[in-house]
Amino acid sequence: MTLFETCDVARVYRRGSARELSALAGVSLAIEECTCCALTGPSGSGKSTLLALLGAMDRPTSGEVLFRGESLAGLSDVGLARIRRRFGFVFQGFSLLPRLPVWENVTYPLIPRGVARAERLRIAGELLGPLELADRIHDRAGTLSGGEQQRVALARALVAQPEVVLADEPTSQLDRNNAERLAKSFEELLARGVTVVLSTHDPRLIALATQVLELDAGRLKTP
Amino acid sequence: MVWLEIARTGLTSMLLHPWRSVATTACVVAVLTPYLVGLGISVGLARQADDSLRFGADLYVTGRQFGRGVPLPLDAVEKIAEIAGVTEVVPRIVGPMVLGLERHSAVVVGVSPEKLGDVSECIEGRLFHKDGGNELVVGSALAARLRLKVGSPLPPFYRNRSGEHVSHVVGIFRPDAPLWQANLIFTSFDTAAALFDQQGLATELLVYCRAGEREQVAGIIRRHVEWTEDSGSRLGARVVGRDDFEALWSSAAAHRDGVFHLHCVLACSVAVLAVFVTSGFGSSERRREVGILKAIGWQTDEILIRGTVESLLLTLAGASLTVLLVWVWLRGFNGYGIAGLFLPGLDVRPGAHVPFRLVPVPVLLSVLLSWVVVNSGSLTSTWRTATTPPVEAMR
Repeated sequence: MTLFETCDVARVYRRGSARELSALAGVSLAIEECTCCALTGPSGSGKSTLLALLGAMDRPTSGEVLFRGESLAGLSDVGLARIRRRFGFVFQGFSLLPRLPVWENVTYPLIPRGVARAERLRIAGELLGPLELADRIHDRAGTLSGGEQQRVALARALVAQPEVVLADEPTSQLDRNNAERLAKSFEELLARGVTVVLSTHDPRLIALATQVLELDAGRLKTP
Repeated sequence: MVWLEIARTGLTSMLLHPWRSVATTACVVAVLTPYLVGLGISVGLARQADDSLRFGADLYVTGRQFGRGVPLPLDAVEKIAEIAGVTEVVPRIVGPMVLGLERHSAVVVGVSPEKLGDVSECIEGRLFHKDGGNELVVGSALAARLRLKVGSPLPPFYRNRSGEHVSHVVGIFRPDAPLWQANLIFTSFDTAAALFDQQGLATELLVYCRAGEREQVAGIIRRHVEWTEDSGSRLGARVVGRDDFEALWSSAAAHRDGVFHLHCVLACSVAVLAVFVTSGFGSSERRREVGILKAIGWQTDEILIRGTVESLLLTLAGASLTVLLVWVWLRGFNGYGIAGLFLPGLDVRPGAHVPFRLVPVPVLLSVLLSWVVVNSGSLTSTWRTATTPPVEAMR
């Protein structure tokens, strides 16, 4: 079943100003459920923009993004937030709340779902154990190393059992060992039937992909 | 349960941005402290004034000439005492004077010591003798300013036709006595008469009446009591009742409170701007934080609730700190440095007990004002960030 579909999507930043920037133009694609789709291309080619549009974190300037056949264009702010709750995000710069403890960072997506504090702490423990972060659970996120932060970000993306994990250059700030460990985690996700969409240059992650889409100057390159 | 968890993140957010929280709370405290001190003192003064009026005379009679109050001849005492319904008439002299090289202002009250009631409990030393010349009981602030002690002489306290007179301090009001005594000098009627060189006159008569007959007595005095002076001019009686004083005091207190409210509104406007500026501290970090929350599935209303709880907590923190600070300042430090701003005549270190009372209305009002200050400073920025797409807020 098609999970994501985009029809002639464009995104223009600072529209109408002298510094207008066209990040995406006429992108049409389809991503199937339970697959791994890798978005590749040089820096500035529009990978992160496309990922943000697929993740309902931004609205296209023109065109349409569909999730499970439903257009995101007509959705209100609340509607988009509800869609985002079905996704897990791993951001390029980790985007953790550095002053919060690790377990709070991991379980923040559960707060609007009404999960009690004690339960959240338990869930965090369960998620962080296999990621070898059980002993750092009460530390502030800002005190962790890059690799540890990325694992916390992955745990946060998975905490609400998402249908899709969207990851923006997840290995770009990691050393080889941590990058390999992360690739393994994605492999496990795919095995569990979670759809993974990621933007990357990393050949280890590209190797996992069932679909590789290459972007260049905001346009999809035809294979 | 969901809202409780979201509300809890408001507290977390407040603790996560300590400098912003401290700066906002400081703005609230800076604005509300003088306001609450002013109102607290105003209410305290009103209570003391009420007590003074309650235990005071029923009528205060002075002479009336050209529509103004003037002293009365002492034979008026007998005239008024004969009126049906009058139980007692007490002559009193009240007049201002200046003391010392630094010209400290004081008010001299000459009255029979028996008429001072149980005031001796508030005095260190003793009361003056009824006919003992030149014995003084001095107010606590005045005594502190002039460095007077019981037994201190005051040379030469006054000069009149019979020469210079040295007086002695026989009593000093304790600093915890009510504020009205702070700059007073109590002495016998005769000493006061000699001091002002006005024999045979009283500045006013305190008239005590039987219950329910005050108005009737006041009417008789106004209509029938008059004197002819040696010059032949006629002198009428001016009567001020306890009700008139109460009305006068209420209107003065309302005026005073109104001035405080006005100043507070002005100060709040400044504080709103200050909070607006302080909310800019770490604003890019907060903006990014909101972006992350939205990206991980938080809705705009949930983020606004989080921000509102944070503001509410800052409001409560600011208001509670203010109330605590005001209470400690007035109770523990007797309004050191601030009471003098609201009570002219008091020094930086007040020599008398500063009356104050924190009643619920001003306290609740200060919470409300605190909320207005915090919210108007931060609401726009929170709203703007909460409605921005997450990808933009995180940038």
